Amino acid sequence: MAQQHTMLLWPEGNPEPGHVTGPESDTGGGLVAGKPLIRLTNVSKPNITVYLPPSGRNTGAAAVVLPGGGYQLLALDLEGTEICQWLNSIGMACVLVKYRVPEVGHYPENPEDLEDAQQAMRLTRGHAAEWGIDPKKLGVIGFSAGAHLAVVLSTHPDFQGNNIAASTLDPQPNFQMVIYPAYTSLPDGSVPPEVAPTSKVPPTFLVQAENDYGAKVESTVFYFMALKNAKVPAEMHIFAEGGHGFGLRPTDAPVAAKWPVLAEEWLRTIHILGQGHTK
Amino acid sequence: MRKVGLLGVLMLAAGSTAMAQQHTMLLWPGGAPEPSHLTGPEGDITAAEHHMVAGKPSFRLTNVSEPNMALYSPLAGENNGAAALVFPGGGYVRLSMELEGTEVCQWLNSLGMTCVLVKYRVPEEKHFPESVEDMEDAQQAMRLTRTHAKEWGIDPKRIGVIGFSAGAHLAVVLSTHPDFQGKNVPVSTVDARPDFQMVMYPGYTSLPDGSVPASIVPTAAVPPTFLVQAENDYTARVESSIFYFMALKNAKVPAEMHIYAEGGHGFGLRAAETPVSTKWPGLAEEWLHTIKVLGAATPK
Repeated sequence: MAQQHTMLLWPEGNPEPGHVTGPESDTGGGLVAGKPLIRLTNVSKPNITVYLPPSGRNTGAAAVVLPGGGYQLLALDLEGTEICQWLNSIGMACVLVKYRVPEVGHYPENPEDLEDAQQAMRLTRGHAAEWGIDPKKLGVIGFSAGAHLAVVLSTHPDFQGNNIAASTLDPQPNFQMVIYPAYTSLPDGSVPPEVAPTSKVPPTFLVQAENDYGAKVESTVFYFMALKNAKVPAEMHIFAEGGHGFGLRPTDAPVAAKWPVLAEEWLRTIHILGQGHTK
Repeated sequence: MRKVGLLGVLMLAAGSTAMAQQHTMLLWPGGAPEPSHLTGPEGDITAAEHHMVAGKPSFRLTNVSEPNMALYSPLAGENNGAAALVFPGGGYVRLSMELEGTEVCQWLNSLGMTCVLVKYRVPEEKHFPESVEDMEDAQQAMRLTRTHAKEWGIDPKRIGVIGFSAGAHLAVVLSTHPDFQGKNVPVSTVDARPDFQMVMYPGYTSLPDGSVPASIVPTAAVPPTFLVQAENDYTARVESSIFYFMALKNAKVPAEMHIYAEGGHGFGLRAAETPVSTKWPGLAEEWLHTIKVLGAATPK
């Protein structure tokens, strides 16, 4: 991958006192598509790592990446660096967010996740010119719990953390890609209040497998219906097979190889990428 | 009004591209089960300039009183034994015979699949369950295809159905009620159930409360299902796919659904500014591998 740059979200200390006691570490365990994956926990110093596309291929579009892991850990390669490789390959800048985990609860009970996500968006917009990013083509892509965080970020651009200095930089993404989301459905067919969309939620792209027994396909379907009713342009691809947590690693099920192609097409549909863009 | 009979349909098909072997067969050579209420001749009801899709006219047939099916076999050497019946849409009052018929057969043939294009009776007073002509014609087409499977090089266990709009509703009706028995239809032992269904921008499959009409409530016997629709389909509404998908999921039917942000209604496979019409066939082909309709051994 091309040029990398890492930056602490809160160089002068987090808005909330840390409750993490152990050192940041990879708990490991599990294989996806026959390969191990990083499962990072005890993240008390959240940061962003910027991966820029090769010079000459930069489209100006960018996405902040929020890995999943149930707000307990972060799948930092499967749903992080591997996503950045893909985004760079289509001429987009990638900002990988290492947000604080484990959390006790999540937004709205615990605002740490949203604070980190907002701060990542603001730092990126603050450095947009320097990094060759069009600040109006900055979206978010999240996986599982990270997809929930993407939705929370998109839904609450006006949230103000208690111990955070007010900022004039906009934390709202210009698009969101919500990949096998968790925590976005209720048994009655609706969505939790904290993710109920307004028409200000940006265009949305959703992917899930029907046989996702980790997060349940209702997470995507019910959220899609809520978007549709809020008049948010949305696209949704439900594959018959694929399970949960596949990232971009090719398996027997076609979803992991197909969704990035569909996503790239959709980025053209919403004019984040140009029609003329080729690989 | 253009008079288009059997010959006309064959010429349309032949004129579009070099499709392989064709064969047409009346569904009811001894007469349809119900007396026809039609008065006018079969023909294209729409002046070409009134219904353009992707810059091309869309041929819309009505007054179909002699339903038939046309067999389009893949090129010899490319046949993989899988087949699909095609039900064009048109609100049960007409049939979009090219856009959602012959053009679909070209695509299926290109995958090595056999295509059976069904010209079912339209206009209908209503549709199943109030009117049963649609269902009878669909069942009969499936039974004739299974009966001739060996002759036509088809694996009788890999015969599915693909329907568009109202034709998608008919596909679902067929899949849901394989045991329906028409009053004036001779009892048959040939199975009318499809082995898979592709349900393209369906109509009439959702209710305002989030459920589906009683006539299409799926059981676990409904075959694997593939759904495509656009969010901005203001003709049939995206809820048609989504509520039906949830009903399938709750009935434990393996299902796949692709909802594009844009595309409207009635796009078929014609290339347009929105990607859906050129992308869904690739997704469908992939799904046919997922459910092992494609990629299986060729029948001897």
